[in-house]
Amino acid sequence: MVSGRECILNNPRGLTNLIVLYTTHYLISICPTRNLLLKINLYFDINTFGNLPLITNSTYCQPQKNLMKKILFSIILLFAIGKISNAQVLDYKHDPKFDNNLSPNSNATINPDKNSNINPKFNWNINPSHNNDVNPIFNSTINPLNHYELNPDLNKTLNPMYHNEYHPKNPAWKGLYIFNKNDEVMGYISVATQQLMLCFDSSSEWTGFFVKAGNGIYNFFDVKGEWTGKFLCFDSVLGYNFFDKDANWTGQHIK
Amino acid sequence: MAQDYVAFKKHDPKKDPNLNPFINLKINPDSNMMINPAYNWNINPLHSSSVNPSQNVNINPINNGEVNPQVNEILNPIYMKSLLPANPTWNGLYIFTDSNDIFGYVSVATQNVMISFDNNGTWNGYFVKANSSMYNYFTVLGIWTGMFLCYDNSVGYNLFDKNGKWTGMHIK
Repeated sequence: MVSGRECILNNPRGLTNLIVLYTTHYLISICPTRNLLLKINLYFDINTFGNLPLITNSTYCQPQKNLMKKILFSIILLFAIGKISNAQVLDYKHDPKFDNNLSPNSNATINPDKNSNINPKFNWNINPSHNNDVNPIFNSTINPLNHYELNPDLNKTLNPMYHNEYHPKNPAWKGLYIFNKNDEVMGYISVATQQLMLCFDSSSEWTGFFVKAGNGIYNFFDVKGEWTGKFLCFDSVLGYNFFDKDANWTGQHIK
Repeated sequence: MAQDYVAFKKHDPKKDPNLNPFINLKINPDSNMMINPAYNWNINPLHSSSVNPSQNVNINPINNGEVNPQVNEILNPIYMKSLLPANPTWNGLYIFTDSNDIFGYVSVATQNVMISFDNNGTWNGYFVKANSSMYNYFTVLGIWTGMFLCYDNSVGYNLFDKNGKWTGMHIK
């Protein structure tokens, strides 16, 4: 018996990120002479610091004695380890290590080094250094220093420190994830409005926010609303790539 | 000893795990960001001027005599003996350390003021309500210490230092 999640694990790339923390066996009584023995591994995901129990094997066997103590111990251990995992356990729908379509390393269409349409070095429509319409220094309508509705430092309704539903430490939080070039989580993003996204580092510390500058581009500002020169460009399919002030791709991407 | 009173048992985190922030993580600011002023600035005087007595005169006993025991005698345990923990009829709250040992006592004087006592029952300051879920801590003379209490959203309060860091102390 193999679960759907285990099929994903059988991907060699996925397996490199998981460490077996604990293995246990569960015995399910089918009839007086026949039991089903399930082997369950508790994996630790080194990317998300989360863990997940998975059924990895099953066999039929004869009934055994003194198994209840072992099962009870296993359940307690699984729950105890589960308690220490982060609130922001990475949703596999956002994980480029589980879905190669989400990884710029595997999917050339969303990689700015391989697709010039999404690279501001080659497409100046999405380059603030070459297009004043998307540059907050020249276009005041996209500069939060001039706009209350774009500035969480001025507008408490947009500030994650006052409206905690935007904060990744909130257990009910839903949002996007920032990955580095190795597809490891290095931050979180909360979509506050259609024009504004809030940015957090891997420790869930609020680091700044993105303001929409046009179709497919967001400029990055610090928490006080000063433009850093950095910006996001839409990857033309499902996420964003992060560029520095010289329009070089940082390797970071958002899903 | 307060621990000897039957009434204390309802407040004792060593007897009731629901009252113990190191067991009940919902009331632990390190586990529940909603009750931690480092992550929830609505309850942080450093980030919300409305709950900062240096910026809001209504919650500062230096400016508002109604919340100052030095001005308002019904808040002063020197005059109102019923507020003293040594009083046989005393009923109040307990301050616990991060080991759940008693650190002091709190008498609820009014809806806006709570009087604080040390472990020997000596008056050492008071808490003034700043909003529905927090109190600032003042010395006996009415000087804000920078410390404050935040409601734990369930059964008591947690005490934070002037930098907004939890001291580990809690009130039940």
